[in-house]
Amino acid sequence: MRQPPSQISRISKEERWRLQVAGGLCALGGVALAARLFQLQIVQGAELRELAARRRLRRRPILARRGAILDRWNRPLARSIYQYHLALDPTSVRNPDQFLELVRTHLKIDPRPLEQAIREAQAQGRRYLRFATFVPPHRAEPFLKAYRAIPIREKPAIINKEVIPAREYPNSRLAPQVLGLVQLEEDPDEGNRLVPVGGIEKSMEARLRGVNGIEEGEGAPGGLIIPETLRARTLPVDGKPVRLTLDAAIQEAAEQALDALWQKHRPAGALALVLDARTGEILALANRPTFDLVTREGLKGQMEALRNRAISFLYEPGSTLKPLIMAIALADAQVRLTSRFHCKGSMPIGKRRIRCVVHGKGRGHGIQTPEEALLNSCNVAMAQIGMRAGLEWLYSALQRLHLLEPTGVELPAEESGYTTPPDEVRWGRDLREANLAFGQGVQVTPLALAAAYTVLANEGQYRRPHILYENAQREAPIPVIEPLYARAVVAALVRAVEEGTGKKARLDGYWVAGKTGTAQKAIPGRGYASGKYIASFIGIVPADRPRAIIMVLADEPRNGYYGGEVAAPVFRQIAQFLMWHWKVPPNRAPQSSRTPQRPVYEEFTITGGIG
Amino acid sequence: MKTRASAPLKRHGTLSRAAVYSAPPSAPPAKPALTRNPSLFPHRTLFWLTVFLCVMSLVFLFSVNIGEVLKPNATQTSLFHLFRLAIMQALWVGVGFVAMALMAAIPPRFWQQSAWVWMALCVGVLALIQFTPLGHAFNGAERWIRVPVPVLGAITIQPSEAFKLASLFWFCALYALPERRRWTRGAYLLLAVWLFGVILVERQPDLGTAMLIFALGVGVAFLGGASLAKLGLLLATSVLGIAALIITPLIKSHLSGEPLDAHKTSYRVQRIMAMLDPWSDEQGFGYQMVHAQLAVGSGGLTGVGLGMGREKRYLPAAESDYIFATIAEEAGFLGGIIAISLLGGVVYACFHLAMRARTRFGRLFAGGLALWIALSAGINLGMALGLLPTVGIPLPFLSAGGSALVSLMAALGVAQSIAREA
Ligand SMILES: [Zn+2]
Repeated sequence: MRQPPSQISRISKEERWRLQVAGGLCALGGVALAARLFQLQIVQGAELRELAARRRLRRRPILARRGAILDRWNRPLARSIYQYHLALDPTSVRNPDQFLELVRTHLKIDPRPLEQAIREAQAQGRRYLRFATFVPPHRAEPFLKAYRAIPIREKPAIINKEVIPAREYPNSRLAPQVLGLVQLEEDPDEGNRLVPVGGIEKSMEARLRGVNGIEEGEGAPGGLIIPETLRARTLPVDGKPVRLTLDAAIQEAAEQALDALWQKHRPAGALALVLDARTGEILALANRPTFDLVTREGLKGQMEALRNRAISFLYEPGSTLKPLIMAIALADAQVRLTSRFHCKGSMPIGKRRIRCVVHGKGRGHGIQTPEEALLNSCNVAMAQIGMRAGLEWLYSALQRLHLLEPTGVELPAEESGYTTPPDEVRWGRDLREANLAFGQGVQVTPLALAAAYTVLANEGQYRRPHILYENAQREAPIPVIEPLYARAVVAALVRAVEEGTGKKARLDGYWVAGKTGTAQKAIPGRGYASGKYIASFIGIVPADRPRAIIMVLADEPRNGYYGGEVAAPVFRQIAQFLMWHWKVPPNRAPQSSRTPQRPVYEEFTITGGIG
Repeated sequence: MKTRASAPLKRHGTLSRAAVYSAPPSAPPAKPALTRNPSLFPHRTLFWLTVFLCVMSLVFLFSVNIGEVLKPNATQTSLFHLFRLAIMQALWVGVGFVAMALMAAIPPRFWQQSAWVWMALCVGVLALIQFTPLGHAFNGAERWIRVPVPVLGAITIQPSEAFKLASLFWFCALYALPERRRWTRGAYLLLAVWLFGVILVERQPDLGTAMLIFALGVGVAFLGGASLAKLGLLLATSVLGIAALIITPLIKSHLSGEPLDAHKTSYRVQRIMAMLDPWSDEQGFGYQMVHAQLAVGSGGLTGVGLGMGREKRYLPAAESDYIFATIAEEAGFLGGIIAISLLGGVVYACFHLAMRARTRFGRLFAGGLALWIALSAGINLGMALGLLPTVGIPLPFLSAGGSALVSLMAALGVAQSIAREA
C-alpha cells in the first residue's frame, strides 16, 4: 500500500459557503414540503377526507339468478349460469411469463396477442384490461383457484373478475323462437342483467327476471365490500321458473321432421305445431328458418330466424278452413248431411268465376254430399254453402271459431286474424261469401287455425291454446257445436286422408283425420302471386280418440307445392313419433295394401238418424 | 474543532506535491492521531436518528402489511408469508446495522483510495446484468438480481443502490485531490465509465435513479469547488436535454397528427401532465397521485390511527414509493412533520459533520451524503404530495427495500468513521 496522502486540512471558506448554500437549499425544500403537507392536511384536509370517503364508497350489485324455463315434465329448456369477464391491471404485471403460462394452461388463450395487448396497455398507462370475456365456469374456476394459490407478494399480476349472468341450454336448437333470446346488458351500478329479445323470455320477463341486490360500503380493490364499512345491503330475489306445456321430446321430433322438409323443399319459412287435442296445450312448436341459441349461428343479419310464425304469420288458410265452416254449417242447419251440391268444375259469380281443382275428370266433381265436398275439397260446393248462409253468418262462424281474435297465448306480439266485417263490405258480397267459405279473403295465424280444430277433435268444444302450463290447467272448454257434427266432419277428414289429397299422412295402425291446404299466396290488395304457394296440412291423430292436432305449414316451397306432398310427410313423421312416445295402442288392423277399403272406416261414415 | 498544529496550514489547492504526499518529518504519523473518539458510533445523534427512522419504518410497513393481508385475494395461511413484508424489512434493518458497524470500523481513507475500484465494479455488474444472460440467469432482467434463499423466498438485490454509494465515494475521492492533480487522463477515463454506468441505470429503465446519481455527482462537484460557471452550463445543458427527451413525443404527435399514445416514451409527458392536474386523468396516469393526495388529506391533524388507513389499499407501491402517504394518513400532520423532521435531522447532522470533519474527503462525503438523503427524500415527498411527477425513488429509511436501506446505512457507517476522526 502506498503511503496515504496527509489528509488533515482545515475547512476552507469556499468549502464552508458551498456547504452552507447546499444546506440552505435543503432547508428551503424541507420548509416547502412541510408547507405543502400543511396545505393538504390542515387547509384542504376536511375536503379531501370527504372526497376520499365518497370515492371509496362502492355499490356492489349482487346478481339475482334468472328463472329457468322448463318443459311440461320440468326438464330445463333454458337455465341460468354465471360466466366471467377477467381483467387485469396492466401496471401490476410483475411476472409476465408466469401469468401468460397460467392463462394459456387454464383458459386456452393464445399468449402472444395478449402479451402484445398488455404491453400496449402499459405504454398507455391503462389500469384495466379485459383479457378474457364470457369465460364459462369450468374454465374460469380452475384458473381462479390456481391464481389464488399463489402467495400474495408473488402474484404475477393483479386480476379482477366480473360475474356475467348467462343462459345455458341443454339443447340450443330446441324451439329458439318460443324461448326467445337474451342479451347481456352490462350495468356496473345495478348489476349486469339479461335483457329478453323475444319469446317466453320476453312475455314472462316479470317472473323470470328477479331483482338484483345491492351492497354499499367501502370497496376494497377487487370489488368486494369491506365488511365493517357496510352501509346497506339488499338481498337479491331470484327469478322464478316458468313451466311450459312444451314436451322437449316432442319438440325435438318436430324440429327433426321439419328439417327434412326444410332441406327438400327449401321454403321461405316453415312451421310445425303440435297441440294437445283435448286441452289446447302447445306440445311442440318448431319454426324455420331457425338459429342456435348459444352460437347464434343462423341469426346473422336476418331477424327472420327469430320470428315465431305460429303467431306472427297471417295467411289465407284456403282448404284447411273448409272442415271448420262445414262443421258450423251442419250445426246451424245451414247444411244437412243429406244435402247435395252439384259441381260443374266452376261457377260464375257476377263477372267472375270460381273454380274447383279437379284431377283427371275434367268436368267437375258432379253430385257432392257434404262429406264428399270435404273429401274432394270442392270449392263450388263450399261456395254454395257460403252464398246460401250469407256473409253475416260466415263472419259469426269465424268469430265462434275464435279465428278473428288473438288466441291470447302467452307469447309476445301475437297477430290477430282478420277479414272485412260484413257491414263494411260495399260491393261483391256474393263473391266474398263464396270465397270466405273456402278459406279465401280471410287472414288467420297458424296457431288460431290449429286451435279452431280443437272444436272438431274435442267433441265440439273449443280449447284456447296455451303455452304456460298453469294457465292451460285453469282453462275451461267452450262449447261451440254439438259433438255429433264434430264427429261427422272428423269422419269426412279420415276419408280425405284415406282417399283424398292427404294420402301421404296415413299411419300404420292408427286412423288419421286431416286436411291439406294449397293456397296461392295472397298479396294484400293485389290479388294473388302467381307461382307462390303456401302448402299446409292439419291433422288429428288418432282420429277415433283424438290426442293431438298437428299442423305443418311451408311458405313458398320449391320442388312441389301441394300440401299433401310437402306438408303431409312431416305430419306423418311427427304423428308416428307421438303414437310411439305416448304408447297409444294401435286400433286398426295392418293394411295389406295401400288402397283404401271402404268397409274398414265404415264407422266414420255418418249413417242414418243424423240430419 | 481545532485543527492540529502540525497540519500544513496552506490554502487548499496550493499545496505542494510534497506536502500532500508526505507528512512533514516533524509530524507524528497521521493515522493514529486522526482517531479521537474510540467508540464505534461516535456520532450519537446520527445513530439515534437512524434507529428512530428504522423503527418508524417497521411500524408503518407493518401497518401497510395489515392492509395487504385484508385484501380479498389474500389467501396466505402461513404467518411468515402473511407478514413477509414487515419481517423481511426487519431482517434488512438488522443487516443494515451490521453493515453500518462494519463501515464504521473501517477508516475512511481506505474508501478514498479504493473508491474507483468499487465504482468500476458496480458499473461492471450493471453491464453484466444488462448485456449478458447472467442477469436473466438470476431472473433479474431489469433492475434486480433475484437470489433464491431457503425459508425467506426470493430476495431481490438492486445493484443501482450500491452504485449510488460507490459514485459518492469516487466523486469525493476525486474532489479530495488538489485541483492540479484532479483531472488526469485516468480521471477522465473513470468519469466516462461512471457516465456509462448512469446510462445503464437509465436504460433499466430507471430514469429517476439515474438522475439522482447524476445529481449526486454534480452536487459533490459543487461542494468540491467546481467552477460555478461550468456547473451552471452543465446543469443547463442536462435540463435542456432531458426536457427535449420528454417533449419529443409531444412535438412528433403534433406534427404527424397521431395520438400521443402512439409514441413509446409518451408516458413521460403524460406523467408530467398528470402532475399538473392529476384529477383530470384519475384512472390513468393521475391514479397514484390522486390516491396519494387523498390519503394525505384524509390524515388531518392527528391521523386516522395506526393501521386504520384506507387509501393504502388503493395505492400501488404503498410500501415503497408511497409509504409517506400511509404515514401521513395514519399519523396525520403531526406524524408527517415528525417523519420530515427526523429526515431533516439526519440531513442536518450530516451537514454539521461536514462542517467539522478534518479531512477534505470526510467533508465532501458527509456533505454528499446529506445531499443524497435530502434529494431522495425531497423527490419522494414531492411526489407523494403532488409537487413532482411520479418517479420511482424510495424514501430513505422508510420505504421497504433492502438494497436501498443497506447501502444507505453503510454510508452512515462511513459517516460514523468520519466522525471518529473529527
Ligand atoms: Zn267441385
